[in-house]
Amino acid sequence: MNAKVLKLLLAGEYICPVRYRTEFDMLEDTSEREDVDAWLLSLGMRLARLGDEGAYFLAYDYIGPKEITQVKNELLKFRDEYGPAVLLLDFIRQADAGRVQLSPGEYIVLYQLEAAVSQSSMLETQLKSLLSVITNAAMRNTNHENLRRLLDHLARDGYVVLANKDTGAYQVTGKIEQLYAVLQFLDENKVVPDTEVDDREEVQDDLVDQATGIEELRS
Amino acid sequence: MSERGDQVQRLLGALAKHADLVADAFEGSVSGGDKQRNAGIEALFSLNVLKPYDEDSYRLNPRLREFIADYFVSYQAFQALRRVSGTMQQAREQWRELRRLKLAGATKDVVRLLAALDESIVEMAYSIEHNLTLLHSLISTQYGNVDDLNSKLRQNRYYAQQVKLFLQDVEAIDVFVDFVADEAVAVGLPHVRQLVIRRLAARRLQWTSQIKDAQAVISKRLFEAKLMEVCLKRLSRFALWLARNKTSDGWELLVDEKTDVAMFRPEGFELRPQPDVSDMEPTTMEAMLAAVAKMPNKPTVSAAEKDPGPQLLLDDEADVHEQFDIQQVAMRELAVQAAVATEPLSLLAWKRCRAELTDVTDDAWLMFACQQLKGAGFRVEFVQLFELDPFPINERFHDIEVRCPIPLAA
Repeated sequence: MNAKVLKLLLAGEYICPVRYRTEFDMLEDTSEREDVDAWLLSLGMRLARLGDEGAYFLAYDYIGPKEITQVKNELLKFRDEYGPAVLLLDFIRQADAGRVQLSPGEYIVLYQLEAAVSQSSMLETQLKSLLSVITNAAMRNTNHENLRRLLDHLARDGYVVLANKDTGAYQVTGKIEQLYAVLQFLDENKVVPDTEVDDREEVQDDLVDQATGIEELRS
Repeated sequence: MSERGDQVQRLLGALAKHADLVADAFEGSVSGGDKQRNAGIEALFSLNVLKPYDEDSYRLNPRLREFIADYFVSYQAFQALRRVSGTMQQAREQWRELRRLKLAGATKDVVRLLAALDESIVEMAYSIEHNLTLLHSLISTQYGNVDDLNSKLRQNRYYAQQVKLFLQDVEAIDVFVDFVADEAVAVGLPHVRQLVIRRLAARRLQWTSQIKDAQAVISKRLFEAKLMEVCLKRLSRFALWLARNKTSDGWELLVDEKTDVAMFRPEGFELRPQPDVSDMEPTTMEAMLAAVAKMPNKPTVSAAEKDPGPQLLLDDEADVHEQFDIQQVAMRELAVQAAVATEPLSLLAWKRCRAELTDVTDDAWLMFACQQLKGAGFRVEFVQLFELDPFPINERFHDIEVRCPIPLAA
């Protein structure tokens, strides 16, 4: 049983291959995993995983009223608890830097983001509207500096990790799947009307249909 | 404060006083209710803040609504972009008049026209900025003011047309700026030239660039999502929700023990290992000594004086040694001597022979010894002075003699 693994789990970290490669590999070993699980059980905890192949994390062996209340409160305060991450990650998605899909292991390169923002006043305006959300960001800073702070903010929250300081490359960690799990739960509870997504799919179908129709007419 | 400024303050004060009604009216029409509400509506109506809409129904002044909507970046569906051409035409006319007045030498009117022209130019710049904010808001929320796709598409087409006109307006500003700047130099009003260049020309390129960006985004915005993965679509949707529902924080949902474990974020256990001070291993000892050396000195705090409170003296009488003073000791010795003396003893003479009684005055000694000896049964006799006193009141004496006590009759 590796002490570092236990310490990371007890610290509430998500052990994914991006951020904690060595520790993740250790937990991939069945006997090690069982040992850790047995040790955690004495604390009333257990080893859990995001999805089938996602990051390992510390879970409660028994979900009691306290834990349920905690999650309920987090959902009640979604804007504070998950809102910043959602807004910042969505900004990166919109910047479309390197066609990033925001899945674990993907790279987000600071200069690509900066280039995208400098080429679009829309993105620049949007970045400015996010300054209140980004820790230590300020209007007086350059876009480069604010984008760096945006990524640092996400790194502090554990969603990305600085992979290369020289190139300003950040890598998406496995913790992002926890956020996706929360969004999925909210989606299943239909808290936000899904017209936006459905609309797009309809549009796509319409366009495809239109294009097919035109091709048929031509032929 | 000028009178006009005072009036503005009063107006804003009235708005603040009835802020709840103004907020209600921003959401929709307001109607009367209790006495206080009716009074508020009446006050706002008299200030033209509320306008009559229907029977006992009032709506917010459209200009005030526009101001509040601008502040909250909250726009109606199909809201038209502000046209600049009207204000530009107004500014053009003002400039013509200004030029004429300048040539005619009407200085006072020139100043007035100059202020009006300045206002028109500021309004043009403000309208353009407002249009850009509106476009950014609509595009970033993907026309979030409607949910229906067809409405979104129609808004998209509508704004594509609007942006074309907007771009034409902004390009027309260039012509206006050139026209005014050239003539201003010729007429001798260089500050007007400076005004239009600083307020309009210097920012035109930036505006044009932003409008073209918006135009490009509008044309592709609604169709780019087709490449999104499911997670990204959710991310986008919830980001939109956050942008559109700024006053909502979250949802109250049913959560139970069957909910996905991923929803339960782990809480960190704080670990703080304590050093084993009994460990004599040199490395551990050195580390501990180093840690101790880094510790600040123990602050010397003077102990606060405590009230001793009521005290009880417990004393064993067996241990008490009675302390006698010198007169009592001398008295004992005197009693012993007097008891065996055959001749009367002069107290004064006896005292003078004792060095330890030097500090005691004769009078005090005589009074003390006399009482003590009398009490002990000795016979005392006052030695009187033989003086001839025709009216003796007190019998004066200068010494006392003591004899052994009279033995009791058997």
